[in-house]
Amino acid sequence: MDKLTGFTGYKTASNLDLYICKNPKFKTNLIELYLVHPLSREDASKTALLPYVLYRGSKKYPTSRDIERRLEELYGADLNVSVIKRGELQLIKFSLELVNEGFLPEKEPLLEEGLKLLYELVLNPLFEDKYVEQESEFLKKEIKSLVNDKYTYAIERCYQEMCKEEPFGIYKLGTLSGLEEITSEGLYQHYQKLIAQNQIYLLVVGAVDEKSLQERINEIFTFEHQQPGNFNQTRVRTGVDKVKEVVESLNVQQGKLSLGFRTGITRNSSQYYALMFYNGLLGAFPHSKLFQNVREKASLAYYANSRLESTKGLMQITSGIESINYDRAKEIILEQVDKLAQGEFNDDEFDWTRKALINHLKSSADNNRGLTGHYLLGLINGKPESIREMITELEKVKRDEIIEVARRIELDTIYFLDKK
Amino acid sequence: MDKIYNDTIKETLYKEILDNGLKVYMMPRQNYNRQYAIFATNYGSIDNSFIDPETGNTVTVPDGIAHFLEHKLFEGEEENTFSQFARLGTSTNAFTNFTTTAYLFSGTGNFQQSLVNLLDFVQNPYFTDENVEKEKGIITQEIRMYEDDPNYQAFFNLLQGLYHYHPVRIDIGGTVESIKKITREDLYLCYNTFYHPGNMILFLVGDFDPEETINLVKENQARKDFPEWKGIKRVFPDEPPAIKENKIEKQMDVNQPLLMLGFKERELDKTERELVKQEIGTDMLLDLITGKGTELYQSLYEDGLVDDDFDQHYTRERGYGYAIMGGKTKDPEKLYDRLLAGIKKAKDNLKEEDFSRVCKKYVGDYIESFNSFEIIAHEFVDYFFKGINYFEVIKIIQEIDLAYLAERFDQLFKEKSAVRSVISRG
Repeated sequence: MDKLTGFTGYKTASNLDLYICKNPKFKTNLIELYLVHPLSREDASKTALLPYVLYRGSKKYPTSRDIERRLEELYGADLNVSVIKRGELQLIKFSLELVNEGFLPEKEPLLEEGLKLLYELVLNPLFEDKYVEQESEFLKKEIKSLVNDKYTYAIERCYQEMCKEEPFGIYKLGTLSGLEEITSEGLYQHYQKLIAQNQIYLLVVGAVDEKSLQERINEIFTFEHQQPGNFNQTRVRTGVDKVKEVVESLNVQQGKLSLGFRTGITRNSSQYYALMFYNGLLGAFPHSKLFQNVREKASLAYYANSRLESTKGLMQITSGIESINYDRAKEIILEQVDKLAQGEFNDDEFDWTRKALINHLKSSADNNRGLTGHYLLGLINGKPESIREMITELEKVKRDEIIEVARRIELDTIYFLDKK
Repeated sequence: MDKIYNDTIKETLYKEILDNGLKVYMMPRQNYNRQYAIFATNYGSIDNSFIDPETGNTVTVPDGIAHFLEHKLFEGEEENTFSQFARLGTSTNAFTNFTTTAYLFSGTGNFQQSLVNLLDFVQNPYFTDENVEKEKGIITQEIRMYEDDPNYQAFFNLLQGLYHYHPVRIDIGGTVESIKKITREDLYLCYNTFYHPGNMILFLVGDFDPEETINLVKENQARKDFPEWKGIKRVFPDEPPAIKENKIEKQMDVNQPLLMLGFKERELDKTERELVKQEIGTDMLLDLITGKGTELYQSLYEDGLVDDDFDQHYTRERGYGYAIMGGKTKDPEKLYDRLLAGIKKAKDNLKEEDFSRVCKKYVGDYIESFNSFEIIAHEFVDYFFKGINYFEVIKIIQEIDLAYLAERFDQLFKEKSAVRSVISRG
């Protein structure tokens, strides 16, 4: 039995891109629907507001309370509505997880009911003025309260400073001024355009019968839709003239140091696998250079790690430190980056990183959201790839290729959230 | 080995108690790639006072020591623990909460060697003055990180309002000052008191063979010497049923204030099964009062007093219990008043129709929990230390009825039992 199950692609009657991962191990079925829109200053706030207005009521379930009660009836189905950013794309995400009906005390067609509910919310909305006004207020507060969570705040601020002149610098929830300008009619027009001509993905993971699932989706999701062509216009920039340094002071106990880099390598590049290796050697695991040197040797931090943004070609290193240790921490971090560029990593580090990356990928095939998250990134980068394929490519990476990647990576911005 | 089959989730559990007292539970899931193991001791931050088995004296140890000990067990005399697992391509971690310290690993191969590593590193402490000192810088930064987390601060302030003396009111990590006092000797004392196999459980889930695995564990344990298991004498202060303070406020650099509202449990004298029934039943009750499907939540949402992050839950452990609700709000005082008024009216609104919907949700959530190894393992350990097998929990859910919830309502929501913890903009 193949335990690294992949997705199979279909076109639905309404021209949606449907991907099914048939997988007997899960106790639930997961349905995810993504509406994809290019990130822009004009539209970001509108796009961000939209899912929250849709979630307030549909023609059949006119209030949030009706929706919540319906979810409870469906054995506590989990519905999450969110907005995410991948490269210079903004994605509206509806994620619905329902118990597989085979485990129910009485047989009920939960998956079919779930699909109907999802259709109701996304394609049969009530769109009341009151909902637009209220959700606009909520979103304003949500944007402002990014600062409540200092960890996320520092990561976001570093990228905002770094990509000030690029669409990637726009926050996934848009801007306060953008929200001010929204009218109910304007938002509804935006919605209609999105539904009619933007990229829509439907991903399903579970112990499903592919044929009957397709039939159900064709019956339920009936609307006019045209999938667009080349929707991902993310611009990958390289060539940093001068490293930017930004310090911001808040009333905090711990300083947060963030270093933003340009890798110039995205998921559809053949060098991406070497980049994954690079990030693993540097800061993705406890054996990585950052954890070992910043935390274990110097005792400067509880966490010090690096993460990739694989659609825009960026990387960020983050660490929470005492303010007075700023110079020392920065120096140790940059020393690790430099070591990799000099090819200073031993066979153990190489071997352990390869094993850790593969372990991580195999583990994500045991998790329904891990499976969709992985596949979605491939789809939007024009290189849909199964976990098995990615592992095969990782196995081939050689030391020299990692060093070559390490030399391409450029520091762009140093952001420090300092103690007042 | 005992075999237990659960008809709802259609999985089998294997159970064995070893000669040294260690309890081993295994749930094979052969269609997964992963193996996940958790080795946990019934010892958490609240166990800060106990009878020293050597001297017979009552000792009180510095705050944050259980968590400090968790960090230090990763230290080995030769290769450090992280490297041992990294070599195998598996990853290890640990956590400490009020009642439990747990060590774990997750992998997709090299299961047997990883399992031996897990048992060996937890059962071979190596503390030196030097490595104890080194950890203080790291844990200080961990504590600082939580000091900047408004939710965490609101939560512990609330517990300090609810409790006069019970150690649940103390931060799990301790304070920057308290951890400075921790010595190598303190760590060995706590280790020798609480890390006997008789006080521990090993839970395994994933793709492995249970027969081979149990033999491996038995062999490994047979090679180690432990004194006879005599149990642990924990010392807890007498905690009055009344709350300590009804309002605690702290200023932080937040954009939106936070409110957490808490109620202190007084019905603490329960059998193990009653305790778990109380925990699940009261959680259901809270869902029926402020859950997303209630009128109260909807009206608070429409008035902009709560957002989607609003949450409520009930916690019950041996010796304490509390209900908590809250989230970000533009007006903590107004939200407090509205919640109290809403709760007052809620008893008359407890309806069979709403109850049956919430029951379905609990059944569905229980089934769904078996998707995730992390959730299964953590729930299993949590319930095990409460004296209940997680496989049995579905039966307890089905035992609960609306009359029980009404009874719980009267017991929990007494006059002057509410505490509010507020984080305001500063």
